[in-house]
Amino acid sequence: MKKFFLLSLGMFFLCGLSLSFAGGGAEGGSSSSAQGGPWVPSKDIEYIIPASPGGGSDLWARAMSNAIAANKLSTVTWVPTNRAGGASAVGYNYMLSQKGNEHVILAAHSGAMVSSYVAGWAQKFEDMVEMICILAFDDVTLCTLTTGPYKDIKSLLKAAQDKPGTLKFGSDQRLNSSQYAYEMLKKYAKADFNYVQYDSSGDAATALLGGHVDVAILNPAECLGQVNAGTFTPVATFATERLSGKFSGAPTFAEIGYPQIVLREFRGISATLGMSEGAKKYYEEMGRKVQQTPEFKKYLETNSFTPVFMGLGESQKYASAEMQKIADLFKEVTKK
Amino acid sequence: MFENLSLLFFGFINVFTFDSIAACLFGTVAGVFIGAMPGIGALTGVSVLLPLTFAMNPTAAIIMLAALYYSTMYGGSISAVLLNIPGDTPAICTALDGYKLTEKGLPGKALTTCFMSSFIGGTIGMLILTMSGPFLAQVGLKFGSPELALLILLAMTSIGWLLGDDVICGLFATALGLLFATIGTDQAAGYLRFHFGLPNLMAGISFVPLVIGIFGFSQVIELVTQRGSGERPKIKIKLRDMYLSWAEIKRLLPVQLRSGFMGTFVGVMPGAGGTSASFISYIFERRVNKLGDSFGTGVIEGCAAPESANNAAAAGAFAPLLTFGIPGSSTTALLLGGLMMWGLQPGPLLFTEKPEFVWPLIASFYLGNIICLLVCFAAIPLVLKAVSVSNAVLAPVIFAICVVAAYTTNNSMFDVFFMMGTGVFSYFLKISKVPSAPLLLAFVLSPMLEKYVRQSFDMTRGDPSIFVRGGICWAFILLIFGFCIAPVVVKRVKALRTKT
Repeated sequence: MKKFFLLSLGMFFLCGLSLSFAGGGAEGGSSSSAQGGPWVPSKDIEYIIPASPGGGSDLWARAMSNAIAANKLSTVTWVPTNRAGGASAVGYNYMLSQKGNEHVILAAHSGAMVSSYVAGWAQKFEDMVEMICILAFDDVTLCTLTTGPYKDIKSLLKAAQDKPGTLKFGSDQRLNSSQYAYEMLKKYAKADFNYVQYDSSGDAATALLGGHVDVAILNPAECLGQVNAGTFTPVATFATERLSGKFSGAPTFAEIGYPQIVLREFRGISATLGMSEGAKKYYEEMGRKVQQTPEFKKYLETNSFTPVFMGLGESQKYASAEMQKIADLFKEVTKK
Repeated sequence: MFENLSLLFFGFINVFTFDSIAACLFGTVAGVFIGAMPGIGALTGVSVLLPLTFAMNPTAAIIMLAALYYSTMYGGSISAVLLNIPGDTPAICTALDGYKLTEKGLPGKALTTCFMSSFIGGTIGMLILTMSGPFLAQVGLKFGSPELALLILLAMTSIGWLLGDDVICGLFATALGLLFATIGTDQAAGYLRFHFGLPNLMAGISFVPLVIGIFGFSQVIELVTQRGSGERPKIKIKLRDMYLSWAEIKRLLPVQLRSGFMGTFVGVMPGAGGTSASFISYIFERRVNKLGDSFGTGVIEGCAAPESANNAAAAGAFAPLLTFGIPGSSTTALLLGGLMMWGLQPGPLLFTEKPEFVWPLIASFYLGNIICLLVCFAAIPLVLKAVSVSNAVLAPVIFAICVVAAYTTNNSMFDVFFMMGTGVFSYFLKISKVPSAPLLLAFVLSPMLEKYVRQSFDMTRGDPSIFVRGGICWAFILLIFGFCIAPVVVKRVKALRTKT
């Protein structure tokens, strides 16, 4: 009895072991389709999430793969696989190691690309992946406490200009889009806040709720609950146009006289380097199709994303230009 | 408060549906199992099950995931007590006394203590959550970075008595833990430290492979090298031994109550979860308990304190989640993502707008807690068999568990090799009589301390006066001084008394 118990225990773990290795290590030969026809995947697609479960990129990839499965857009499954670590560096390096593998793609987010430019990575994102498409903007807003002293962006900026180094700016990690937003405020609006770094925007929102910071920089999805309840007031958006719904009261920076202050985070799909044109076309088309599914539309809506479509080539160009702009400002700041 | 009770009653009526009870049962059984597997904790469990729940109705789905979350706190103690491998981080303290009890031949008693304490701690947490969840969450928000920094500092004072017999060795281990913790992305400026160009080290050392290496793999080496001469002492385990005597239950009750209350409060605070709760209640209990000095040698109180606290903290963490829509831990953050996928908007309006969701969930906590206790008690005779197995069988089994657990953390072979390296390293530490507990404690707590301290300095551009900004800060400072000075004072007073 004892032996049987242990044996089964051992077998169980070995099964688990072999399964996990099979999942991680199954990379097969190239998989071009029948002669002449368009490229189609010949096995399940590994959809790499360069972040932990539960984060924005995780939800993005899972929503997409669910929408694909629900609408039977693909004959194979898109399997979301988390490869977190090093502020996305682990995921991107994995992509690099899978060069030429046409069944591996990545959930792309502009934040990780910023890090690849300014956080001391060995390579920039273009040297590790190729952008397939950009599907949505994840716009950034500034929020204050409704019960706090700063009801609008003007009074907030004025306070930061008059008393430099006293107002607290709750934010996620440095060397990321949030710090870019902060540096723009400093440079163009001469507003000098104290940058307080939290692990995530969620923690920054918590700090704002407790009154430990004066303003927090948040994506709409991260503060929708508080904005609906009236505890947070969105005072400004970094987008080029006003956002919809409850956020429509928040002006853009162009409206208050700082047209240079613009930041739009974006999400999409990236591919491994060295993928065939046919495969890239396939993923681009899938991106276009998934964007039109009711499931994914609903996901974009609940998260207050702004849908957009930039395909092959265009998306890569856009991303690189944005990153260069951000890197330039960071260089300027560190020089001082 | 009484209104809450009637709402809870309404919740109970709703939870007794087939869907909800089945979800709760499945969640708890899976949770106990996942918790017992080292390396796979609540976070992994919830993330694996999350996609499966999209087809379910939201109430049943969250009941299942929440059940899984708090039942891993039960399961985590099983491997900590029996194999000295904490199933999850909140069980580290449990392993300290739990495994010593196993060595004494009392694994059944240790497990019974753990489960009973988990149950009582969990129930306290749930009662407090029901009665005053929103109020508590409000209090929790008062804890900003400087207050949290002092709280962690308080927890770190416990390193002092974990040092062991040889103070130098203990301090050496602490320093190693601090050094390990500095690897990776700097918490304040985002620059890389000591990553040697390896992307896998850019986020720092993963905790799970480290713990598994230190506890699990080094033990495999020990089992293999002992060979014959060092056969585990054959312990005849009688089921009778798992029952606690009435006197023991009476001894444990105050411990469980104290830790339960403390755990709930720590769980409510943003960013502090079951791990901090178990550390803090363990050190607190060591100071106030009559048997405090024998903590770490295998006393049931040493198991009761952390287990009661971490379950209470799991319940407490739901207060800010449900009241404000802010997560108190990474697992609750994942649940938050789930809420949004089911079309619920977490936030201050959830309680008032969706009572048909919130109250059945809270009611399911009580139900799940009872199911957990029954499942665990039923499992004791089964898991106890693992102790009476010979080394020749045990070593390969633990080895397989270690490898799988290390791999599944990040789906990476790097972690497996790292785990083995740590195992070999810590085996050498072990034979050099360097204790591993201070290393782990320093490794877990110092990054949090660094983070909160640097956030505080961020707020004031380096002005340290922020650490004395209010009553909470001063209370923590006094406690820290109290904890540090008390042993010296007590010794002096005793010496004086014997003189006179």
